[in-house]
Amino acid sequence: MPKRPIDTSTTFSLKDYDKLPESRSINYLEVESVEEDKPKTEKITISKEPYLPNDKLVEAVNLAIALGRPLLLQGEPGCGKTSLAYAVAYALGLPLEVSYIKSTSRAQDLLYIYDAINRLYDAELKNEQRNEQSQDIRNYIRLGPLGKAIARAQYGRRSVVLIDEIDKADLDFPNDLLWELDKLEFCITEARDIQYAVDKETPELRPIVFITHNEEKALPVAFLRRCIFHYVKFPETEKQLLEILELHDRITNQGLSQKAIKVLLELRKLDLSKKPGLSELLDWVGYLQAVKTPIEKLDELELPYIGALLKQDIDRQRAINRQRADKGDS
Amino acid sequence: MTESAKSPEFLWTLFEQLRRRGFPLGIDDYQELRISLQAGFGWSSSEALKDLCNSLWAKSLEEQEILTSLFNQFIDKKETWQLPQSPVQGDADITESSKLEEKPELQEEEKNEPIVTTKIDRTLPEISLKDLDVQLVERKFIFVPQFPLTYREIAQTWRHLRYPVEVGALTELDVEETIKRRCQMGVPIPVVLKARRRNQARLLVLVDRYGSMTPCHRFCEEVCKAIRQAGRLEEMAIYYFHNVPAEGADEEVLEPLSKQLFPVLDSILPEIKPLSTGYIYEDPDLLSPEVLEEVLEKYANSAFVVIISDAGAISGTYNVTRLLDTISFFKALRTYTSSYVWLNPLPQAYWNNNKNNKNNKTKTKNNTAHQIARHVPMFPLDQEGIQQAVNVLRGKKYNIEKSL
Repeated sequence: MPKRPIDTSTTFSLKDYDKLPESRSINYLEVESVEEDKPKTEKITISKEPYLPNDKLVEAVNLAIALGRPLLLQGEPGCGKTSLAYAVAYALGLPLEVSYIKSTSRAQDLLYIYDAINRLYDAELKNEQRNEQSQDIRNYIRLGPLGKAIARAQYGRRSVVLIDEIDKADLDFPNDLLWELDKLEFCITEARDIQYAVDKETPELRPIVFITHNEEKALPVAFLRRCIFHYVKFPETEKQLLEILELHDRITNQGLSQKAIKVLLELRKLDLSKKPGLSELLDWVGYLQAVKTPIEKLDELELPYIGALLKQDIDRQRAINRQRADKGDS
Repeated sequence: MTESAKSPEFLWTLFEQLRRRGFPLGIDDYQELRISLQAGFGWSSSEALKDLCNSLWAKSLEEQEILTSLFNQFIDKKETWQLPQSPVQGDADITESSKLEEKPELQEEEKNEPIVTTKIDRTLPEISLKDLDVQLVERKFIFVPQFPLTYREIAQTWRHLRYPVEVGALTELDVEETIKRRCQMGVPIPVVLKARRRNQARLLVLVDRYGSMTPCHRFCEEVCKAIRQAGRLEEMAIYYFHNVPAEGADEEVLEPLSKQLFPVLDSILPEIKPLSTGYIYEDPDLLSPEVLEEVLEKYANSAFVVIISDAGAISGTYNVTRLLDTISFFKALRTYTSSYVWLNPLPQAYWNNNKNNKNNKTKTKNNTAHQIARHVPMFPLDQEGIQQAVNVLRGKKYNIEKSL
């Protein structure tokens, strides 16, 4: 692993996060295409992600920023791994480049995509303008999320990158990214003179990379070594959960939230094949409130709209049995 | 820069202990921790220091648990450590502030935006853990299982088990095919596209439980877990059985051999009928039976199949019924797939009398496992064995003594 300068000039803090406006306008450097002239800057508006991380998570984010390493976030689905990247980008006022990984994703897609087929078609056309266009390879290269972040750093701007659910891709994917994540530089293989790199002298421009991982598959050791690891735990206390619910402005009914949290925490104690997470809770409470469900309904044998919380029939059955047992006791 | 900071000494002990427990840590990783400490991370409490070690050195929840208990064990509560007065006034800060001045337009733009960044005040007071009222649970021993195969060895080998299939939308340029067609036609025809390749390997694992397999349970579980997590498989099913996956083969075929004490079934092999009736179990406790035929239908069809069993090698006896049942089962399995291997948790000496272990000749000659290994590719559950097994599954030629 190469040594890299440490940079503590940027730190992320959520002390004042709740005081930030609901949306803010940031400068967005348009770097998708590889034109030779300086890219344009536009104003874009990003909206705030409701988020409530704990101190440990903030410390891990700051460590990752200072060391310039990707932050690998693991934890059960629906506990806010993805939202963290949005919250950090918003708090720091940086553009966020997102890559949702699919089983066919390749590491190169993160950097750039070369559209050779369209270039070939254009070259064969009798249309003079298109024909001329096909002479220059630059017209057929589009930078990917990580590529954009590196290119933007070259132009003196920082970005946040989110690589979501990396374990969905083939094993080669993380391995193929080792070099780019280490060196923060790449060149277009088809046009070797086009190169992008984050200047080593400017560690404050290094992209802040978040990688989420759903524990479905183990990642290769070489890749893990290059990451800062943090396990995102499900909030354990009722108080924390209530605070999170309150962050989301569509949820205003306090009594309902409290009751719903109690139900959720009870459900999570059961031996379920998939424990309901935060996103399920938010969906459920949001809907309960929207359709004005009376709170008493949550005491009934069959929970209302339970499909939002428990996605498998066997889990639903377990929940009902449990409710029934409770009723029997009282 | 390093001299001024007195970093906690037990961290080196911790580092060494983690390495002993198989953490993939190198000297770079230790350096990384020192750099982070110099940058001001991990100083606020012993908890923060532990979190820092966890972030940098432990890359899974299990690893974090091991690290935490080791940390609590080694932390020297009397040792005080202290941060130099101005830790990071090194080159990083200076160069960076001058850099910012060189780009005035950039800085101005940033000024307009309310950025929520706070500078940590890093002149922290001296910390001593004895002053802190922390209750640390002392754990004398940390047990890390040591199996004949490590998780990583299993993972690395099984990753090679692939069956790439082109699926999805046609997005890739098929260069070979395009050139071929253009050469054939002699005119520029449209390019040929193909879909991206995806690993679609499917695996069915059948694990022998209880009886002579009892001592190997934990090991087999570890093997299955590693394959499930690390193997890039489209689908993996695990089912359990006791001694043989299918029982009750027709013993009439044994009639001609009735006079032999240790009958070798070679001569009657063609007469043995495929057998897939009976039940195998979904759970390791053998409580929820499933119809064998349905399982094979669902999971074995052109999939890879692995059987983990000692094949009766522990007792070292010869059981002709077991042998017959096993052969019948494999005959049935062969109608679904030809990619199957047998992994034996016992060392090869117990069931294979090849050139290397002549001494065992008498011991292994007449045991069921040895006979099974003559008909089915059987490998020991060790590093070399699983590598060979994966190679055979991938289609490498393997000569068995008497093919079914």
